[in-house]
Amino acid sequence: MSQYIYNLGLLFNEIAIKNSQKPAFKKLDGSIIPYKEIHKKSNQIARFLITKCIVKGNVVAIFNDKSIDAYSIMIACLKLGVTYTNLDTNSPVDRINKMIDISRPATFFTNTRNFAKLIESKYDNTCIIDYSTSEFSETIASFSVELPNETLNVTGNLPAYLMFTSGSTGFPKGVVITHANVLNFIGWARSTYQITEDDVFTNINPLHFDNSVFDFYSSLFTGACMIPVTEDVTKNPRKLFELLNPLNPTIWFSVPSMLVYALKLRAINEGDLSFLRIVSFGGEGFPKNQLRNLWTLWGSRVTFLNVYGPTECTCICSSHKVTQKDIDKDELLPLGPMASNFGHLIIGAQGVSVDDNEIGELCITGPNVGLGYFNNPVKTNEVFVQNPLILTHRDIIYKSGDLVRYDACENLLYFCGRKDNQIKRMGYRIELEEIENALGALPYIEENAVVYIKTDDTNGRIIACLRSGIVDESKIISDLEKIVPSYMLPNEVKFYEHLPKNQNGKIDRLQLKNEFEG
Amino acid sequence: MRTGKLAMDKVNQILVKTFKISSEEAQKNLTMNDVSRWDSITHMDLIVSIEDEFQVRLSGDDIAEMITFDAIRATLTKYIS
Repeated sequence: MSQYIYNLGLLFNEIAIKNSQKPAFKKLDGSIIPYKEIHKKSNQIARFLITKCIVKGNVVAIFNDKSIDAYSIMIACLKLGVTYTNLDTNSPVDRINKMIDISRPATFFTNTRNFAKLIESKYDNTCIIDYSTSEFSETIASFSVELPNETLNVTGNLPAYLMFTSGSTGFPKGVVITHANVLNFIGWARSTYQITEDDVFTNINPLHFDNSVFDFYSSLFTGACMIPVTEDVTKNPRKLFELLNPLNPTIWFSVPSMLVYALKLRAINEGDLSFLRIVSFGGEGFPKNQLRNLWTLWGSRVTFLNVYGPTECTCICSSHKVTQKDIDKDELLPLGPMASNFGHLIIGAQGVSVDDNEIGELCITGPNVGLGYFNNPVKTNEVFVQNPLILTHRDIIYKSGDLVRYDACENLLYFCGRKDNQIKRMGYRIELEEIENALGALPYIEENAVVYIKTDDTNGRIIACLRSGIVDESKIISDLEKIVPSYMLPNEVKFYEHLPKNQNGKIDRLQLKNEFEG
Repeated sequence: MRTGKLAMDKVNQILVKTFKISSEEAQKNLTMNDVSRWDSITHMDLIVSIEDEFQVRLSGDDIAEMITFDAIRATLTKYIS
């Protein structure tokens, strides 16, 4: 009789025992780490955490360098019902402080390289643990390698992880995703990608970025294997493919920008990744001209899968297998049908469902919908709301802010834009207000507005319009860099004596946009 | 086709504009790791700007080498001389 699997710790335990000798990781240097090693190490780290009084319901923050130890810390947390959150080491200290304030981690794991950055933050230095030292390895090695009993007490409704995303008030939001959310997600991934224990996943996505949820859980929680790829390698796509080729990955998932980047730098060859079965992309639209280039290289032997899903709904909600017909059309790829265990509504301006093919806001319901934003009931209540069509019982929908239309004949959703000021850059969600708030925090900026000017279907420029006491662009950018991550920095800065105002006395963003679009 | 100092001045201008650095910094031999704004987005912008400005099509091998300011200048010299 099979075991009742109700949390991710138990699932990993089952997978690791079954695949004990099989590789969990193939590293870029060619070395292989079997499941039994990760299982033992994560059990030891879990027991170490218990001695530190870190228990179910606590949060643990990680500066994750994709080392075996760092992945093992994530698994150890899952085994205890401790919520992990991987924070972006490239974020400025000011933003890391905000994420610390929100998540209040009981401990913070880092490697030695990023230790100094953490010391600069407001985090209590005595609670920092450097997982890259020999001292840590020796400490961990002294603990039992058996699964701790605490794993049995982790219920599916407990948060598995927090994933931070941009917030319009200037504060990032920590999306709460539960064990049950992820278990459902793994079931969907296993079926949709027909994952077997012979599959080899790339983990190109940084672990603070939502797409990595697919890499991590679809591989290590199904008995497949994963190739960790660090940022210094992804920066150089030629090197990336050279290193990946001998490892024979079968499933790739990244933002389209990563593939466009590799294509534009002429780093992908027809024969690269000859074992690849599926190239999957999501997080933003794939520019059609570049998609056609990739299709020419790989289309005859690799399945192309376009996926869609907000962070708030556990990474992916819908998928679409790309066909020649899609390639021939000029419009963006469809988002696909919603996953079978999901429901959706498309709500129009009047607050009621729209007809087929009419544009409205996509609202998602089902077992992938997360619990909201950590420590942020106001923002949670704005977008995690009762399904307006259900009056008899509780049914929470997530209002995605994405404008879509649904073609019932094809059973396909199409992306049509955003209802707010959120944009995507390299797949990262950016609320333009977060940049405005950061600019507003600079003492010499008297007034500002940030606008986004699309240059084509999928790309655009962020333009900061300023009334400023200082008119030195490089000084302003370097000050802004201390508050927001580099992917949020404006492409251009324009200076004004007075910013245009509308009838209500507010900055007229529409007029500014017209100025640049004209 | 521009050669010599004029071309290098133009390269420096592209570096200043792409990475939002000062013209003094653009003249140094900074690497991908030295320049905080040198990520995949700006790297792509850099390559496209150079190709547009000098009307050249860089090879994949050469692009792979262009990860320091000096390497960028050396590669471009090869194309325009």
